[in-house]
Amino acid sequence: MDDGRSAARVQQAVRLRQLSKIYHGRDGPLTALQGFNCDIAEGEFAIILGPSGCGKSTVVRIIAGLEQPSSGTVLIHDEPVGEPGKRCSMVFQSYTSFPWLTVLENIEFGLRYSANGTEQERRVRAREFASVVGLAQFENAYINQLSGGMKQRVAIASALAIDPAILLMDEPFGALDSQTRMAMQEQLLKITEESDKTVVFVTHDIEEALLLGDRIYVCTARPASILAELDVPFPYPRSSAVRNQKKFMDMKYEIFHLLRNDVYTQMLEAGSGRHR
Amino acid sequence: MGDIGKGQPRWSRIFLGLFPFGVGTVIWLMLVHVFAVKPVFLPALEDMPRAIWGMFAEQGIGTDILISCFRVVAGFIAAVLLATPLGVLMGYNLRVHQLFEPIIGFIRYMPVPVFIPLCILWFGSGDMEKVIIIFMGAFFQLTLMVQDAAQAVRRDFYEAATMLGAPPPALVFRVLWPAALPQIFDSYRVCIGWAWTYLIVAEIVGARTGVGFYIIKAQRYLMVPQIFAAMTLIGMLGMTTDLLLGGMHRRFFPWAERNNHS
Repeated sequence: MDDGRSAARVQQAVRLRQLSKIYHGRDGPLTALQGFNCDIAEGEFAIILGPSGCGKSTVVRIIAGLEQPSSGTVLIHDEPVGEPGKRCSMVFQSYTSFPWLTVLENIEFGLRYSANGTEQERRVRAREFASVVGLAQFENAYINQLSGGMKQRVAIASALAIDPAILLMDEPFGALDSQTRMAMQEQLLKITEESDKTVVFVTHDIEEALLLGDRIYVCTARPASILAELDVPFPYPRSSAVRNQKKFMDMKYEIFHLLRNDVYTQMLEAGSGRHR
Repeated sequence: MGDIGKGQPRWSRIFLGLFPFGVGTVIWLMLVHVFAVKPVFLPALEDMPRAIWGMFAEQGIGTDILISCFRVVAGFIAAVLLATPLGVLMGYNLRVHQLFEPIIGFIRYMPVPVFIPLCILWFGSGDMEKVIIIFMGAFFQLTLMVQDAAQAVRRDFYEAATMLGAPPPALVFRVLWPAALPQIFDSYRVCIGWAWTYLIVAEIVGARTGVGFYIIKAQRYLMVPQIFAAMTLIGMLGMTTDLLLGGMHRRFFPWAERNNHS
């Protein structure tokens, strides 16, 4: 597994060059990103880590094609992003599985547009992914009957079922309670270890970053740019137990120090009430 | 306060629902027998069955009911068929919204009865005119309600669908429509109530058939029990429709029924 990853690292899955994004709101222009550069290798589990509100979500939304950068270039496998939903799929922080569909129908939703198979084949594939995320017994449940963690598992299954080149995850566990979040992190580890998909995962949680990532891109406070890039040395298969390793705690402290100044600045700015 | 009636026995719900009817009946009986209100103003409850029998057997109110129902249903369906796509488009697309909102806002504040003289002038005083009045009353309000329902669909659903590869038409047909449908259906339910109101308004002016006309006729001949009976009938027809639509809502949209009273 580990060998496969390093061998594939030659090709860049995502290349961000001098990316900037300026929003023009009522309070005047707001610069979310400035001079954002980053190369994410094929097969990498990349973490974009930064303080809340730093503009890291904007990065994945630009990779997704949901937003356009104000300047700079984005290449996915050396091609421009193009229409959203062609090569990347995304798991959002808010629960975006459709409440009018059952679990299985949700997973099938995207297959209609990505796979050419028959209805029968799509159903089989949806079943397969329902069991990948451990929801085989809830195939016919409606979304509102599920817990938050289960809703996110449906979203992950829907996103994976269409077999995207890149899986984008925008703080997918941000709304979950901490126990559920830990269980979800373990499950995501297991799922991604079994595939060689490139994942771009946004979070503000340092432990989550260290537990899940191959490589961590630490962002500054707004406007976001890359502050540091760190390789995560823990071998696969990983489990929550790595949290107890000395190396884990050292890295956690190191990253906290990197972010510290920026976080304080951010707090002071928030206190002044006006964000620029 | 705010409880959703979990574990409440069925009989208790039925009792609560029937209680106000019982109170109404007692007040009626008291007004007639204790306070001796004259039958010209309020008929005795005992006279009602005979009046109702007479309405059906001798005065042929059955035909009037059928005619009225036809008018309501025709006007309502016409309004639904036109208001639904227009409202959906207005809720989905800002430019369509900007195009139609002002004119609809302008017309919908005109009271429906003001259309009656013109409609009679243009379409005569037959079924056509009645149906058009009902349509006018329902269509503009319904369009805005459907638009509201369409606009209330969460934006991130569109983004999620787009990321799953859905093209724009699918955003309307496979996201907006199913997401908004329960609320759209609710607005149909409200709308059919208005349709009954506009029907009676239309049938009171320049009509020769229908339940509204029957009430005017009964008033002219001081057939007070019949006025009461006809009003009760309209109430019952309305309530049946509402129960039917409510049942359909529960059946069609099980996913939208969480934390609901009905």
